[in-house]
Amino acid sequence: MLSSIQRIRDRRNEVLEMNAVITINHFCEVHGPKVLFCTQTFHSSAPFDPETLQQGENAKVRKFYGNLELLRASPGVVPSCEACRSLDAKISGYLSSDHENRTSYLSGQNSIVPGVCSLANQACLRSLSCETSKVSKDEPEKPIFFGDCDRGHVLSMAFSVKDAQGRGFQRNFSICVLAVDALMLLQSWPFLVKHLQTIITELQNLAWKVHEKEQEACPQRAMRLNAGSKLEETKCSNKTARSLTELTGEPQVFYHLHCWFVWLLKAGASRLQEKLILPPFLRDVGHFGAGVETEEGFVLVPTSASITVNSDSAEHRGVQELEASGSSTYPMIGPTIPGGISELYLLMGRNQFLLAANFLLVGHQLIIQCDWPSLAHAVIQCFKCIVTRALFQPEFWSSTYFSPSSCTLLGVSSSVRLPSPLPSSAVLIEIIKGDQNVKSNGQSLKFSVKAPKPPARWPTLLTKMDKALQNDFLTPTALHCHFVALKEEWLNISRTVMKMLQTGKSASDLTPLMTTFGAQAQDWQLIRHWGVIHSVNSLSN
Amino acid sequence: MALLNKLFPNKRSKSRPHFALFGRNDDTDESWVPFAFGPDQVRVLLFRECELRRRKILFDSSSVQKIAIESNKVSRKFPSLLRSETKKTDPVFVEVTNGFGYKYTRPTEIIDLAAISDMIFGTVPLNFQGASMKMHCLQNPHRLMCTKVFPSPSASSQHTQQKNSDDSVGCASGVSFGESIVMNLSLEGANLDKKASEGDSGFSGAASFKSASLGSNYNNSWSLGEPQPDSRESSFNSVGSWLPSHSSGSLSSLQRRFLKHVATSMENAEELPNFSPSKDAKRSKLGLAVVVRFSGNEDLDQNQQDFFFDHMPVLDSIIRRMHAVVEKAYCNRERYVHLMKAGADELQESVANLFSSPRLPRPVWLGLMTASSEKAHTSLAQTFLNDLCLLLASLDTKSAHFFVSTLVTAVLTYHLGWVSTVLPGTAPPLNRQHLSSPNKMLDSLAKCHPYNALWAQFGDLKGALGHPLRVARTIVTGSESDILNRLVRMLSYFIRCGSISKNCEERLSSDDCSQDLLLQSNCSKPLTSNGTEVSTCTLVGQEPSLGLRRNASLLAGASAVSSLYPSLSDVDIISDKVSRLCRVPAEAIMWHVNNLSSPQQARVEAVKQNSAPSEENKLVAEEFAEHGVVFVVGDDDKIDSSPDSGSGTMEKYVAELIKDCAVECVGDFNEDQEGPRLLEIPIPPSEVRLPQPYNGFAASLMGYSSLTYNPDLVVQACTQDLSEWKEKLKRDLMLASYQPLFEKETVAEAICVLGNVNKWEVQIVSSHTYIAERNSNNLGVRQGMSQLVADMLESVHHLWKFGTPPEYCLQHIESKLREICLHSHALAQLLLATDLCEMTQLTTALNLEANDVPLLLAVASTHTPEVTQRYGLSFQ
Repeated sequence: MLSSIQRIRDRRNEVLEMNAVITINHFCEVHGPKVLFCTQTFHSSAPFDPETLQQGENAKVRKFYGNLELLRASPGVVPSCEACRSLDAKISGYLSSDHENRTSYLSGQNSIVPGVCSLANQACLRSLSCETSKVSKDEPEKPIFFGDCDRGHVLSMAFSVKDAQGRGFQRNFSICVLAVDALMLLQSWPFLVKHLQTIITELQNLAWKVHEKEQEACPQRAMRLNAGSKLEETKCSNKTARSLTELTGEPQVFYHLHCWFVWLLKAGASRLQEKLILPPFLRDVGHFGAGVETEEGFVLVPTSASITVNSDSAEHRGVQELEASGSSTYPMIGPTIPGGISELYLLMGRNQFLLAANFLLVGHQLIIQCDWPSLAHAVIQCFKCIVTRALFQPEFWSSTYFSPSSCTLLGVSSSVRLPSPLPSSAVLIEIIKGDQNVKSNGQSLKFSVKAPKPPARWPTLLTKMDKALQNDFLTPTALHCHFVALKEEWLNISRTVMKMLQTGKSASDLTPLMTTFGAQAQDWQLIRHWGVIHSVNSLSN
Repeated sequence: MALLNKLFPNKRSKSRPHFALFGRNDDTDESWVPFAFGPDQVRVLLFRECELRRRKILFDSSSVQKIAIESNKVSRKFPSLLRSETKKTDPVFVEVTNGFGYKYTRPTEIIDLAAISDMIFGTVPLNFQGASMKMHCLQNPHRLMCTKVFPSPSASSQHTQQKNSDDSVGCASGVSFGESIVMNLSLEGANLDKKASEGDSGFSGAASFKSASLGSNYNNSWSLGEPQPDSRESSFNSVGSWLPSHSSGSLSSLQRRFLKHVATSMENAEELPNFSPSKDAKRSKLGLAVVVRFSGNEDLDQNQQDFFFDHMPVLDSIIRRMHAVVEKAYCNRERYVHLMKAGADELQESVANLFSSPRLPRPVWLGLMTASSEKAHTSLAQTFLNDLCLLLASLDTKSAHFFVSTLVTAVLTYHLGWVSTVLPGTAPPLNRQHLSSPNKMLDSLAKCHPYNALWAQFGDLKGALGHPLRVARTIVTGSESDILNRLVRMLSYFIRCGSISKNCEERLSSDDCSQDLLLQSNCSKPLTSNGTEVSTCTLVGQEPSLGLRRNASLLAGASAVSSLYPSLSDVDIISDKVSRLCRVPAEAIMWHVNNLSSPQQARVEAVKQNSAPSEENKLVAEEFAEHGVVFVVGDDDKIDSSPDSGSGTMEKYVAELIKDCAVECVGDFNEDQEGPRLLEIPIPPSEVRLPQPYNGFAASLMGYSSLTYNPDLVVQACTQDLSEWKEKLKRDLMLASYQPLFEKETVAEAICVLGNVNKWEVQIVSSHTYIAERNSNNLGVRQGMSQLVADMLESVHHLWKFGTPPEYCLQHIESKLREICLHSHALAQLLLATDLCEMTQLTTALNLEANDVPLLLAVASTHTPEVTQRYGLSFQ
């Protein structure tokens, strides 16, 4: 655990904030390669919350989605050299926030993240004075990719713009896209190069026009040739370091670059989108709900923290459900079964438990009659984990009797009159204070089950559950997960078998299939019942 | 093939959008190839740079000729004399190894080697000593050059001393070189042993391939790498003349000076993350360049180039293999040309295979996912079920050792991409009712925290989803290509990944853009629900009466709560986790998030909202004549900016923009009102066209029956005899385990599922060589058959025999796969709760069989990483 955190920490230092950073750099006549302008992406740092992601409109809108500390701590040093400066003293940067995607794009003289800042400086240095793609001198520079794991990866395009007053009548610039993910950068190469080329051409055209105009007004070549004699005069008229704004004659050139870079970062990040793969043929059949919970109400339980089988919160939630549904409230004092189904198994004794569970699984009604609503409630909660959602129609505490068709698990007080004789599809569990041997919550309880004649053999599912309940290794969480898997298995079996029967196969045709499933004669009742109620259930859904 | 290549340009045409995804849309089972491409279109170059010496070319694949020598007798009789004798008698050969002579010739294609070496090493030497990667474009003809620069390998300093005491021929003398190989191998071996001994559960980053070649070599002298003038020098010179590097830029002298300044300046040195001591700068570097020439047809080139860039991970591993060869050859002067030539041949073959090896015509899973019509879907499902059931009937028998079930068990165990398809990331149970589809979740995640979709697909295919991270590929081998093809087709249902769509966004032209801004600005929308903050962007130019409203910034009050913000490193962890969400089910992410994020974070937002000042500032409406724009920065401050009149699209655009729309200033990022401001600007709009299906890796990494082994495919059928490529397989797995597939995250183990049809046996070959069964000739360990998988396949076989509709059969498989996932949850919970379990205890408790456990554990490693962190993946 610790090592994995460490690994992630190592892997992604503060540079992590960037998916990509775009900078424009120039080679200053005075200062050498300098970063002029840098656009960086900042993502919302809020921890992942599926709900927020789902309901984007509810998420809180912020001006800036990155780390505010960084923004506030940013030095905002403005270079004194006019050529090295992109923003004037009154503007520290441009900010564009994509509220829908909780992403901010911030442009400034350089990155506000110190680590990125130093990477950008290195990339600038390399792109302008080290890396080359020229085979011959006259060729224009072409895109270059360079980088390593330590200093990030860079896609760089160097270019020159006309400068009538510059050395060699031109000035060297480069645009660098920095990223940690080399693959992403290379895979975006065609996309990035295409658009960077557009930007560069635009800048070059602007500068060309300015250059033409200046040359008309004052031909530099002639002037420089004459410069030998009138040295001082020339020096005064020519500026060696002019800003890109001046070179292009476009006062808003950096504003415009900001828009371009933001667009590139945004479009580049969403260029390829993965589609998650929910098989269409599964959705058609309606087996999977829209959500992640299985249709049958099995909650997939990832961690022990979220397990609620036997905790108090389960009881609580049950109560809340009840209250919410408007049923009569009742005091929750009295004995409970904190150990969950395993404890119930012990309290009832194996035979009585299997008897009750068997009839519950094949669709009978369980009536829990006792003097404590809390106990009835707890018993019903215990049985919940062996049945599917369709089979779980509880009435936790009722003052009247409900027929098996409307309620599969019924808690009643001993004063409630039950029909006599009980319907053939009902099983009565009576719980009374008993001898001192069996204890639960300070109360000694005695269970007695009145049920029809049990089958000769229990269904395979119940046998497996019985086996699991007898196993000391299984913790409540593991037991719960195991039951979920078992129920899913038998639900699939019953559905498939029912489907086969519907298509006109006879039970004997299905014998080989049943053998494969590990199902036997004693399972038919369960299979039929589950097949029927779940197909009804899925129809109603 | 020619026909196919003619067809290829159709890839882009809208009538057949799925062409590239499937290879072919018709029903034939012929394989397809992405492009025609020959090994001769690849050229391998090796350069060396040392600060004190000139740059030099050490190898050029296009100027080395390999010639078989008749006089084998000589070599057998006088092996020790071979080298020198050949040299004397036949000066044409620069080297003779294994009965082949190597000679240098004029390269077939002349390139400016000086310029190339400038590209590879840069025009000025850099201080950085690690390995780095570069990519250049070369024109006429259009080529791409991919370069790896790394420090030249050398033996220990002890060896250097010995060499120095030797005669001047030094390096060329056989004795010292033989030793250097041993040294080098032992160094490598030490690293490998170290790695191996760490077992499954842990892995230290120090053993990555890069550091394996870097790590222990720091005190080596650079001089070893310098060859002395010998007969080879002249032959190299015939290839290209070597002048001292010179910058081709117009500002070269200025640059040089400046760089000297930078190199000696301490302030810059501090910023370099890995500033190496100056003595390291003297070590020579090698630059390995792979030049890929495209066809010359412009449209096709563009497609080929896109394909090339998409498959960078493949190219990367191809170059890694060559890197290993270079390291070996460099320290082995006697067989240098031989080794390099063999390595280069293999590299050329691999690149050619990347473009032109036969691929699976219709990968089943991807096909089903993206089928455009019901008919196509049904037909694909039918073909798959026919294949599967035919295979089950004939091969899943006792005499065939239940080959199919065993193979599918292995594939499901290692190619874990299927897990998220049957049990998509589950959210915490409390929220479950409100969740919309996982796809939407993934969508919004990708938007908020973009990640590399191709990388994700690659990871899915390779099964790199669990923890510890394993990468897998599958080879079925045998003599009958029919069966092999059928097996590969069948497996392509179980080897899964997401599909990728390509969003085609274009930036709106300036006119559209300002129009759009206009529209946006007309409706000023409140940004927060509590209404304390309203961002308005109002028209100034056209309707001057409309005011420009500004509110105190939300952020002004943020200083009070700043201490509540999580540290950046926490955020990093979270966003890293989040960006991997789609790789692992959400619950696994939630596990991390719950454990890692500070509880403060939830509070932060709330506090911040509360502290936002609600006071509204007075309206400020100022209008400037003509092109004026108002930036309202405080209560009274104004910045006006009047663009100079001029022409040009950009200028016009900005001018229009300014005229139409005032941009509100976000003040108060800095508390003091006099300081510089941040200008808030709306996101530039773009035109989004319909997403196109996109050929990521998926289809092109699934091979069909081929005559040769190909290390870069995820699944393939190979008819070549195993004995011919098993050494290569071992080597490639070893290299793959060193490849940092996911940036710096290390791969713990590389696996190959090897299905041998001739022997009806499925083996798992691992990069951990110790995993191979002892006392047998096996490459790896035998895979057991999981009963869960066998039952799944058998039941679907029954269903199909009953004439059940294909849709239902597939649904049945999916349900059964989901059961496997649920069983793995139970197993994970059991293992987490108990300290130590015997296999028998496990299997009795959960009613499983021993052979199910490895599969379930592998699945568990994707959703409950704690389990495998604790137990490792191979529970025994």
